[in-house]
Amino acid sequence: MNTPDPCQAVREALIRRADLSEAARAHLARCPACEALADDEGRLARALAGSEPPEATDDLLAALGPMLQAEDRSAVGRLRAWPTWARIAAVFAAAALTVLVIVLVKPRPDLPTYPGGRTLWVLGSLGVAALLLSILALRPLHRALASRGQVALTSLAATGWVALVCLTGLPTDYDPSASVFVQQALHCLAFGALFSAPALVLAIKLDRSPSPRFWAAALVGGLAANATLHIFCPIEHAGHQIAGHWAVMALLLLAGLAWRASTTRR
Amino acid sequence: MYAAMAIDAGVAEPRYADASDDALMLAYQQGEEAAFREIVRRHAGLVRGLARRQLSREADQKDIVQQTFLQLHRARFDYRGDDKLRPWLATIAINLVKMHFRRRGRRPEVSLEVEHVHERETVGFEGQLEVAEQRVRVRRALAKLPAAQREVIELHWFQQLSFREVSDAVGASLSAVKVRAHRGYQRLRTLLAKEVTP
Repeated sequence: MNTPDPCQAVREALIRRADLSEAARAHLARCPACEALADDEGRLARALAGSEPPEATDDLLAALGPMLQAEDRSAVGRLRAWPTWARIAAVFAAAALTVLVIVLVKPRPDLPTYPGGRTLWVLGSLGVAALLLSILALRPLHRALASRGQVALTSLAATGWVALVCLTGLPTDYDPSASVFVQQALHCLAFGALFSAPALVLAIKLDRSPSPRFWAAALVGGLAANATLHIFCPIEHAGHQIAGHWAVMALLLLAGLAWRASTTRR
Repeated sequence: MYAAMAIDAGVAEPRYADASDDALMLAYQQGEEAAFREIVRRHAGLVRGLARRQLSREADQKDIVQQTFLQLHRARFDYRGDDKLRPWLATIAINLVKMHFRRRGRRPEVSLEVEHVHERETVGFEGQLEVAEQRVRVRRALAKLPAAQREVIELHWFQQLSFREVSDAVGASLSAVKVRAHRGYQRLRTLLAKEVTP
């Protein structure tokens, strides 16, 4: 069970009003928390010990039985029980599979002549960012929760980096009329939303927490959509890519906010 | 598998009564329902105490306790032999409490209700009253601590985790956790002294 803890020995001695052993005294000199407990002849330790609640024997197991049964009966429940590395790999594989399907079924017409190095660079960057955000989305609850600041910083750094990779160095010879621009952007937006679905749904469903981290799932889905659209859409222009490709992520984030607002109201 | 769980949580599973937490988790991973019952029996008090000291509503406390063991069930295949079950459960419960407050957009609260006293029969009515009053005093003092200090004291004192385990649970460095504990205990002592001395 627990590893032997010198704090524990000091605590027990203080509660029992027993003399502290040599080892306990040496520990007091090194541990300011125990020193604070031992001050004033250990009164605080005894006050805290007296506040221990009694062991209750209610019907916890009876309540847990149906919950665990329902969990084990559902396919999602069984998937959620996979080890964390397997859940993260599943989300990543869903995104990779979507890209692969488009490579095989409907790749952009210029793919054979498109610089392979750039494709690898773009897909690699999107993949690393998606992996990082999948780890955030599926972080198990037996690990300390990241603070909101850490989460925001990681998300911004990951998406900012890939946006920079995807949107810089693009050609500028793309000048469609406004209606064509909107039509092409909407076309990619619709396909992007479709391409995001496998990774997005898995990231939400495999999250074990009672309130799924939709923002992270939305970012993962958006990155999967961008990777697939890179293989699907031949329009290499920052304006189109922002309005048609990156807007998928914004759309998913907005949907997530709306969903969260509705569940909070309930 | 879990249909027969309506048993007294206070009765140990004979087969697993002397098993270590690691052995229990291993058996549980292999589908041994009795091992799970023993885990719940052994650690329900830890989770209940933690929920009780963080939340004022009984329904919320019960929900956190149930959710904690549901999360343990979901995460059972993440458990490796070098993990420790008590810090695991404490971290899950603390995270669930944090998520509970995030969802409701409220600050952490501490229950000040006098709970039912189920002391041994040898303790008389006055003794029970004194114990109950002492609990309220401690809870009131704990409520006045900053959340970060209270969280560390909760884990170090009430859940008896080592500082290393506490630092893993709250995601802070070992030295930061020790400083929080030191300041928290000092402040608690001052607050309790004020309560006793009118």
